Amino acid sequence: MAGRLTGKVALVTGAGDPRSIGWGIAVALADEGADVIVNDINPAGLDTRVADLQAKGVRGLGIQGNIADVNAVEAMVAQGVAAFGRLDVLAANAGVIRWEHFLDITPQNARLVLDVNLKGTITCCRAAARQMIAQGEGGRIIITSSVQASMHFPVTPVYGATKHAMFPFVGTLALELAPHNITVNHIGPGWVRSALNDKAPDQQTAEGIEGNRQAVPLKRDGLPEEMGRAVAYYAGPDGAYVTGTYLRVDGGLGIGKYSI
Amino acid sequence: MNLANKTALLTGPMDALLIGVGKALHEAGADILLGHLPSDEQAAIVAAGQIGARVIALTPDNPDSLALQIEAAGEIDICIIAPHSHLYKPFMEVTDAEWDTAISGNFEQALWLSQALARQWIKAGRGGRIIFLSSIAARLPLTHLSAPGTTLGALRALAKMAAVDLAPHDITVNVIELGWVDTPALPTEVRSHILDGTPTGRLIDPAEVGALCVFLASELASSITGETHTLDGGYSLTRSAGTEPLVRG
Repeated sequence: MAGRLTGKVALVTGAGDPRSIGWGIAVALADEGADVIVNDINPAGLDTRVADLQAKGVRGLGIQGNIADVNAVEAMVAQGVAAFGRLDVLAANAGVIRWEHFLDITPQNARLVLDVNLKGTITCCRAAARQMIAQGEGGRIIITSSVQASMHFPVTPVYGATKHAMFPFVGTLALELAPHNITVNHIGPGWVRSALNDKAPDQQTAEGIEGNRQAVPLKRDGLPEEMGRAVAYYAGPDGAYVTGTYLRVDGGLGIGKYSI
Repeated sequence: MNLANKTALLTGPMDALLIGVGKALHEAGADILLGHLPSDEQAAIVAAGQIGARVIALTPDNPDSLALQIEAAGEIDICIIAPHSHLYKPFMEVTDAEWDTAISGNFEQALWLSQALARQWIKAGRGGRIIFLSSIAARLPLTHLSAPGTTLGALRALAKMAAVDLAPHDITVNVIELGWVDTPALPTEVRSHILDGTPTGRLIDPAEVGALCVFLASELASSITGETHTLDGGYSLTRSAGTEPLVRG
């Protein structure tokens, strides 16, 4: 049965870990029939991810690369296009987090978070948009920001800053790429039990994990696949007229909280 | 509002905006210290001459050196930090190096300077005021302003999180998001376009920015922190996002 993304090629960054939002996105896009290129800085899981994609009856390709490296990003897009012939969807998902309050922020960690979350995301968008513009058939860019784009946690100030920055970034990109029929949106995952969140200081005890869960109005963790289906909406025909928007997928965590 | 016996450190491009803010703070009684990048020394000396300020070289891209420079600068009560990059360019043409400049000049340098001051103030057991000058592009997506908009959007969030952590130390952190300031650098053709979209029908005088800084730095504003103050003559109320052209003077 043809899916709503059959014939489309998607690139998902930060998708090598089976417990990542990136992998949840890759699965959701593949379930709609898209061929999926999965990128990760860590090559360990990529072969398995590709096999999992192929088992769904779509083409899969794994590309190891650090999105903070401009040349690696350009090479990644070129390699993906060489393999699958085109690029229709970018899920700019890869990100890193460091837990340091404002007074404790270190140059090393700030540099890392800015290089990956801000510069890396920007570079991926530019490289993908260049390819989409050249194809002349439109495209979809979906950035994984965070519920932290709209509510702040002082324990992760640089991370939160890079996520909030996606509001003006996505808005401006949506305006500038609209003439090419490229839509640009971002999703705001809330509390997802992912590899990224495993290291959070408050996730080291059963009480901490349960405390976070109880802070969510729907009283449960988000699933990576639920983030993926939000991306699939933006990537598919139902999302064709939607650009420059933000969709929190957070069980209500961000409702009424500390607006930025 | 009296800022007598206060010292204000002002950093950013040595332009009409910073000079106007410096004048306002000076008229309110504050001593002014212009913190300049090593490459801006001549411009800083000229600016300082106009407002009776002292100058100090800062390297905000080097946090370790910066901390020593701040310590050596003597007592500082107020810090005004203006962004360095107002790059106006289509996103697809913004180079890697230009992104680096915007991230460093609009976000990182502001982070390290405010952090160094906050650490110093806490060590000395005294409060302080941090004011980030920014742009409405941080909130209002505008075409060709992806670099300043994105980097100043990051700063807007950082200011709020810093405000939470610094409030117990009597340190306030505020942001002023500016519309179109009247400076000699603003091209005539842009000036008329902006005026058309500004309800007040005029550009912003740097003295008006200074007046808000004086208020936020005063005792009257002790409970105002983590806030973003829009100062744009109503431009963002009426001008739909993306309207061109917008070049910062």
